[in-house]
Amino acid sequence: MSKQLTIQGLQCERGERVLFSDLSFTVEPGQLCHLNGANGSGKTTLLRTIAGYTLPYAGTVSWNEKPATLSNSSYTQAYRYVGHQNGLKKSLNARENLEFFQQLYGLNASSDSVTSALETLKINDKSQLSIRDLSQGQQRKIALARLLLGSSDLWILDEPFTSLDLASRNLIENLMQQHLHQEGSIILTTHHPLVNIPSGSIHVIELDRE
Amino acid sequence: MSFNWFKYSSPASFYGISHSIIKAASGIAIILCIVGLYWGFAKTPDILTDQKEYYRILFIHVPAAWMSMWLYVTLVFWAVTGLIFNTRLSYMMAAATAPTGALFAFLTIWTGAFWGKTSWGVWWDWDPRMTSMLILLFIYIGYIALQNSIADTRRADRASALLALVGVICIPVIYLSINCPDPYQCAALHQQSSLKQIEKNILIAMFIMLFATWAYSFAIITHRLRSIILEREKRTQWAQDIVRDKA
Amino acid sequence: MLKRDLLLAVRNYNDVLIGLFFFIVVVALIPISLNESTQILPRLAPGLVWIAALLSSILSLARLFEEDHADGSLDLILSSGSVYQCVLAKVAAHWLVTGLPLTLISPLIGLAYNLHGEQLSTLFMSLLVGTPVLSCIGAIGAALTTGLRSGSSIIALIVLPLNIPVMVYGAAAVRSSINSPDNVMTYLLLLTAMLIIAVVFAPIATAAALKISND
Repeated sequence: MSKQLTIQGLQCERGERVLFSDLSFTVEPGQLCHLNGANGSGKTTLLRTIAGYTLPYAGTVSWNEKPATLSNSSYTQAYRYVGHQNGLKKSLNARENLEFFQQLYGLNASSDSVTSALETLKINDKSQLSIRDLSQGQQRKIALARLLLGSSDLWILDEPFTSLDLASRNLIENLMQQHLHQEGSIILTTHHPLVNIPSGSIHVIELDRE
Repeated sequence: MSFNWFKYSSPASFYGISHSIIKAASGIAIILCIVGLYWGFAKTPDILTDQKEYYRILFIHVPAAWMSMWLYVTLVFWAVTGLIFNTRLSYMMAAATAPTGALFAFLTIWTGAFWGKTSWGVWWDWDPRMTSMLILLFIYIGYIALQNSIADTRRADRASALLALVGVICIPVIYLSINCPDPYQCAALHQQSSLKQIEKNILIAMFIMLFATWAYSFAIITHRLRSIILEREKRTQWAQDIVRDKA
Repeated sequence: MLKRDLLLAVRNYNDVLIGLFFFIVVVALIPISLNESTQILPRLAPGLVWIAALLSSILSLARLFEEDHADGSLDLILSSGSVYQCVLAKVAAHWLVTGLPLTLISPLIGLAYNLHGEQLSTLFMSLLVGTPVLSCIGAIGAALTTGLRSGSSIIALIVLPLNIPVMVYGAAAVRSSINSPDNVMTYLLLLTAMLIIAVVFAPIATAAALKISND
């Protein structure tokens, strides 16, 4: 079974403005799809459409040749979405937040896997602090720790490197590299250059219309 | 032989035929209204049981009440059609129906107040049927308010459609709770309105007026729909052509 | 999941108290404004207490999904397989921090309105069964208006008419405990039926509304 994301003839609008139309591409396993485009070109909308949150005005998104919508549970379990917002509760600590995500992803509550995710991201020492007391970059890392809970095939990332320092960016890139190696796929937007990922596995989509 | 049912569900092709619909429906509405009112004033007895001439307000009151309820049913029909088939025109139909429905609910209450003052001596009584109509008006207003408070058209359409659907599920319960606050002894309605007891000419005039309000609703809703279509499709070539031709 | 929402609510305990005191203030203001003798209060009590409960429930509803929408966790909830459970947990938490405290304090309010004995327990029971329905139906309105600037005022407009049956039968239960105690059980059963229907179906509508609002 090929774990392939197919976008076909997609059209999205925002506030009566057509962002893009007739957009078609595929993301194969082991491939990283980098969405490029100026502010307001519809990158976030495209990612939200792929994740099923926003309905397209025309066209389809499919996963394994089945419609990729929120009601397709085999699809929603296959991807991890990290959007602009971190999705963290400010008054809970990192561990409590991640344990909640485990429940959402239908995983068994396991504090070990939470610990290992936090350790991989080198943030385990902060796990008992309220999110409120962490820096923007630390919060971002905890949001990205979701990617390491359980296994997933597709990562949908909206500006994952925002407010991360150089060391953390390299760390995340290495994780992406590992994910691609394990036949996972990634679709992301970012303004930071991807330095550690071989350009052979990067597939660039330009969203700017001329 | 195949007939494309969805052909007229596209706003562009609907817009094309809508003008003749409006003309025909408003013509019918005017004729029926004249006939109905003439019949209601000239052919009917001056006294209905213990009520004098003022009972004739029922020629507005009853059709308005029926239409306000019927229009809610059509509104929900269009809303559900929109949610299922995702057709833009259905949402626009629902949006165009709501103000007319609200207007009729208001007219029902208003004319009812006059009738109540003359026959019961009060402008308003918390009689179950009056309360039901008031709540129907509230539900219309909630629908319109929600629709207007959401800037994004598609979200507004879908959210208000869902509200209309929830409303229609709640309406029977609301109706029951108002009519039967005491389940052992349902409150006596207005009065038993048995159509058979009513004098034949009154009935005829009432039904003519019912068709008149129906034709009026058809015309005015289609008219409103045209405006909504033009507003929402203003980016498209055909809508721009129409506006340019008019100018 | 319920634990998480409760934890969140408890860490923002201010909200719980605001809802409760709003209820108490409304209920206390009415006898003051009427300036009536205590004779008439038992007759007013059923309706007034129920209206105050309804208003207090709506007061806190506007924020039910607002935070989840703003911080992005609504996305994650909607794409999880457990939207229904999450919504149910949210509604349950809402009831536990608004409806339940108000129910617990209602016998005291009843005493202040000159109710006694059987009437107090009926007031308590009717609120116990009825206020969760208010939370369930209210959640639909909250979900529909999530992320809107004028959300909180629209919610009232949408939710109040839909809550009429709960209010009518809730108040009728208390009223009949004064006039005809035999009928009390009928009303409580009617409210229970509404509760069951609301718990089963309202979260479905709420989840659908959240998907629309999160578009």
